[in-house]
Amino acid sequence: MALEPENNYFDTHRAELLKQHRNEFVLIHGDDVIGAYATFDAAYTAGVQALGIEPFLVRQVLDREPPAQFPALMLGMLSAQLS
Amino acid sequence: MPSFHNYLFDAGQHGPGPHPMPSAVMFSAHGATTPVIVSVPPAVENYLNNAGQPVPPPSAGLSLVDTGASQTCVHEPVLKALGLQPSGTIQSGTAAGPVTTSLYFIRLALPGLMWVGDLQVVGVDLSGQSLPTDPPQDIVGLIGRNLLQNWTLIWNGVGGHWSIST
Repeated sequence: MALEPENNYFDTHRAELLKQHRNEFVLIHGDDVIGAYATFDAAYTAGVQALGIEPFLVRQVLDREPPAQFPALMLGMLSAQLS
Repeated sequence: MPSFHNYLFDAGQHGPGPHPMPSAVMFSAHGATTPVIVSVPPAVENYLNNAGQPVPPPSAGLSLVDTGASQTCVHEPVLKALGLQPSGTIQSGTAAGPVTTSLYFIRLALPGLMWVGDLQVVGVDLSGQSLPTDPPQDIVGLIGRNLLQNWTLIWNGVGGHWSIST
């Protein structure tokens, strides 16, 4: 799975991150928190400048993230409609 | 706030005049689609230029307005062809349980709506999705509610057209 070490680190340290960086966007590579930023764009730009086009995680520090919804895609309704 | 009106026509259906009429049947079958151009975000473009590496050319296709999708999605092979790496993941619910999907930061242009922006999109598999036009046009993106929340969308099913104000 993509970014598994970074997400594991985030989930393990969420409480600590919430104390220090609530609502900010943290930039994580492996087990390293490279920084915390006010916006996603700032965190992403810092990640590219530091790591180039390697994978890295930018994640907002929240109590929990809302799940995504893609009903047409997940249920195959796009294919049914368009084929 | 600019407004854009989009009509689908059935080539064989004409009204009383010489011009084709918007087709409610075509609109219902195809949905609201608009051209899309996917490219690397400015941070990656700058990085590649500074490193003396070529910037992958943008990829073009059609996008489908999907009010059921909470996030905007792009066909993942298009994102990989641009050399992009995931910058996040997201959990989505399915009948089989939660699935983790990769997020990518991109520059997205919707020339039919005169809109360009940088945003995170969900990498999804849209293989085989195309409009049955002649020639068929591939659908490479779904415009979700994270973009639509900023705009006004009017769906006129009876009239066979849709409008959007960005």
